[in-house]
Amino acid sequence: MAIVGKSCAIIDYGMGNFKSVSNMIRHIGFPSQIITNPSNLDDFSHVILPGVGSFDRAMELLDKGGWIEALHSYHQLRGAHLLGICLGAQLLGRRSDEGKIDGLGFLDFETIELPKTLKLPVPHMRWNSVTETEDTPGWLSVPEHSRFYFSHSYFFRPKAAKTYFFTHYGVPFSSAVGTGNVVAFQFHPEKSHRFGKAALRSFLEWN
Amino acid sequence: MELEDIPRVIPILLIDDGKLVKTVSFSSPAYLGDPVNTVRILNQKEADELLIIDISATRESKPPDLGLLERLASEAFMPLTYGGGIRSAEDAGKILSLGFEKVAVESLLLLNPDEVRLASDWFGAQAILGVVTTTESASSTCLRWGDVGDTLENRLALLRDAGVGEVLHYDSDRDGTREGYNLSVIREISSQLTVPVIAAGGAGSVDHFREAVDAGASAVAAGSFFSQHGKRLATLISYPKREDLLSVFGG
Repeated sequence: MAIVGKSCAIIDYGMGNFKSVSNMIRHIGFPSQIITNPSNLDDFSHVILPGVGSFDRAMELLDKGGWIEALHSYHQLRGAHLLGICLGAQLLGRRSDEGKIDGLGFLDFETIELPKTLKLPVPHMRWNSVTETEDTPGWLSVPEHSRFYFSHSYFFRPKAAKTYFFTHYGVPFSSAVGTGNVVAFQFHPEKSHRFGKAALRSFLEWN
Repeated sequence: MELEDIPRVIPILLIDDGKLVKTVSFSSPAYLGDPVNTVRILNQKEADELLIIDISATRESKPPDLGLLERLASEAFMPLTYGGGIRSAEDAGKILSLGFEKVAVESLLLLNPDEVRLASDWFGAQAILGVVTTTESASSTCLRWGDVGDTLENRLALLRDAGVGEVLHYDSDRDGTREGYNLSVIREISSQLTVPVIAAGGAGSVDHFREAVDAGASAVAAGSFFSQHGKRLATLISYPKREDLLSVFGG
């Protein structure tokens, strides 16, 4: 099965920030739709999994809404592009220190707590910069001196997943990771002015 | 320090019956303008974050004006916090779903801390900003709301137990005075908490921002600093240039 046309689905599974993501994508001018039913996920060239809140509650809601199976099927499609934002990003990994339930497992990383020995305020709630790595894909580009809004207490620890951006908070950590057609942003592009707009536009223009 | 590493500088917008106002010590509101237009201007100026407080919702025990909040959120590509008239975790959820990142709670924490805990469990600690308002008497710092004899230490324990992800300290005596933040209270709060602390009440210059951060604040907030200028307090929405903030914070 092939995807017809270009449009972006924003998944509303009952956890949070889909409205801000939708506002930003409308501002970019890309066709998008907030969807509350998984049955037509395969019609979209791009899918965004947003979310704020607790890991287990999010996985339970995804399960209850029939999203887990739908996302697995979407992930297999040729031409599918999947982005997770913040908690939605952490759900794409294998597991999290925050919860007991397994993640979706599309990306090979774990989500861990920030070491308490750093004695830094947690959550990491601030604007911060990102640095590209040798693995940053060509489609992902943001302006020089970009800054992004972060608001999280748990961090990606990549295994096989590649680090696309890293950021410093006491220690360097992966702030964007990905493999194949799946990418995870720890920061909030929908709330990061023109920098976030550029990052989201990159994702939407990714073919 | 790099340009992108500057601590958050947060304008506070006070709403009174749908209009943007400025108060001195939370009273005698003066009309400043239209909130939607102000949010649009601060968005163009790439403000770090906005804190929107509806003083009429608290005063008149009204529910949050969700229609207005939705219009404000659609203009803002930056983090937004809302406070005023939030009675339950469910209320908090409604506001977050409009495109707000955080809700600010103070009276709910005193009346019904379990609802704050529930909101923190549902939406994450990062979505809950606990507010502590203090006022100075001749000899000591007092909490503005709550029982007589309540101490700052008790209040901080309450905030911790409720699972807030951030705390804003607001010195109501200094509100609108532009004399600088209450640094000793900021120092005490930030040394006792592991979550980020925002300083509010009294900012009159960017040097005051620096003082608050040196005292332990992770971010600074202000009202009239961003909206009123000169001896006659003319209304003009402004936001400091990042280069100017860098020279203050990085120097």
